[in-house]
Amino acid sequence: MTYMIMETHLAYAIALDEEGRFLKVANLNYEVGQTVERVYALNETQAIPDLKSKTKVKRKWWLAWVSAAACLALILGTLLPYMLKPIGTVRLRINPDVRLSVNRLNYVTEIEGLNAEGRILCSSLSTSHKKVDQVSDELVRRAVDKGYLKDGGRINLTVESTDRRWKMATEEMLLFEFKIYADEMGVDIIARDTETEHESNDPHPRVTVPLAPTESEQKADYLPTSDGDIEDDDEVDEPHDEVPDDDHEESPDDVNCDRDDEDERDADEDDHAEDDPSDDDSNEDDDDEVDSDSEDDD
Amino acid sequence: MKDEHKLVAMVEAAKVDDEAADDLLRQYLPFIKAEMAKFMRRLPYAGRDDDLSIAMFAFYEAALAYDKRKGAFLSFAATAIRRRLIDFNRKEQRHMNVDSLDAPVSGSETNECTHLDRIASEQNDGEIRAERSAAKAEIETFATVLARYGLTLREVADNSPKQRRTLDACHEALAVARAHPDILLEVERTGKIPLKRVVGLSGVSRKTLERHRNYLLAVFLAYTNGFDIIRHHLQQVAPRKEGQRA
Repeated sequence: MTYMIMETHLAYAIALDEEGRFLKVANLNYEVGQTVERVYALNETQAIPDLKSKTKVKRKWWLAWVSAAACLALILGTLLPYMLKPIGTVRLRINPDVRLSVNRLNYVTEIEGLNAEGRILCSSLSTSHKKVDQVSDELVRRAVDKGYLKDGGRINLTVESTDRRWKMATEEMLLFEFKIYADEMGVDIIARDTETEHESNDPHPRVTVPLAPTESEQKADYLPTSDGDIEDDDEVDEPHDEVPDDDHEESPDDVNCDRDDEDERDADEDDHAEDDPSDDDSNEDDDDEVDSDSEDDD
Repeated sequence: MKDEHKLVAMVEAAKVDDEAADDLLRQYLPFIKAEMAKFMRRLPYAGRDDDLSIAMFAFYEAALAYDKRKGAFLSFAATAIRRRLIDFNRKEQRHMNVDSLDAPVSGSETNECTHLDRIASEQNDGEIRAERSAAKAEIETFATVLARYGLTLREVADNSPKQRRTLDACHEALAVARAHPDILLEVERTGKIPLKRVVGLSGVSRKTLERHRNYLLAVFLAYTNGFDIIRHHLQQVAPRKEGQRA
């Protein structure tokens, strides 16, 4: 290829190649009309003074994005650990005993089976990125599937946290969550404040009234039939849901359909400390059925 | 800061105006020489005239490519100068190798011209000088003709097709014009190319022709009367195209 020099300037020259291209080239002391074999032409990309930005215009506003990202990182860096650390635990006891650790965002951070059945219930249950209501529901559903929770069974729910507001909100949420089981299966949902060991050892889910002994006996006094006890149980149950556990003495004193008679028989023979003035009042109403208290005292 | 603004203004002017470009260069010649000196110190061989020309050209290139959002012009120009000098010297080093006299001249695309031929032809200085002089006169006339139609060679160079595809398209258009002298006459008369007719006859896209309007005008004009030397130089442009057209 040969090039004919068409024009010269201090900064450059214009050469015409054999194919008709007019090129800006370095002026190596050329003369117009000269023909040369080799030229140093402008780089293709720079040939046309195109003022459209070819380069990193972005460099400047890029910085704005970087600082925004840094701020966000800082905020998240402080906020996130706070939000993600466990704030409390939720313990579910049917028969299986399971404890969930929950963070402020209500996501389950850890799940632990506290007894053998609990561990079975938890096995191969993925809790990653699931909220406490979802995991609790899954656990209960599994308990039903595996036969741990039957019709008329009970779920004991214990929510613990240093944050009282979270505790109450979570309790409420889960009670609502489990309502469907209560409605469809007649399952009791009991919320407790402290975890009582003996309850979790009980292998038989049952409908029970966690009543204090005195009260049950008092009720028994003025009810016409022993069946009435059960009805009363239902009434008594509700207020007890909100009352701390401490008032309930359960195992030995639980009033059960099966054990009613036994209790009464016990009541006959034992020396009760409940022999207080209030008894006399109840005795006035109905002496017929239960006369053991008043008459058989020592 | 004011100096920087002034410089940027000069650079912008140099993009479109040759006089401004020359002025800019003259003003910053010391800078260019200094950059060159920095570079030369690193080179084993130095002192070629061409290096300064290359450095000046690099500076000009930088001015054409400069975008004020890229930062300071002078640092941009310094980089361009350095890059060009490296590139030039690498190429020159290749060509500095001693060749046999009968070997083809390196850098030439035809293998027929040997060093011997070259030396022989260069002995005929007088002839060459005469040829060059004639070419110069023709080219100057050509530039005058272009100026009559509001064109400068710089604008033509800027508008020149760079890609193979577009160059070929322009060749097609030229072939059509050469085959229909009335088209050339019209161009000469009006200073405008009858695009519709050319598109119709050549099959080239109108958009391509419009995009290279200035270039095409210059080339068409070169094929009107009086520009034999230029046409002779453009031997690779037209002939084969005519044979290929359906």
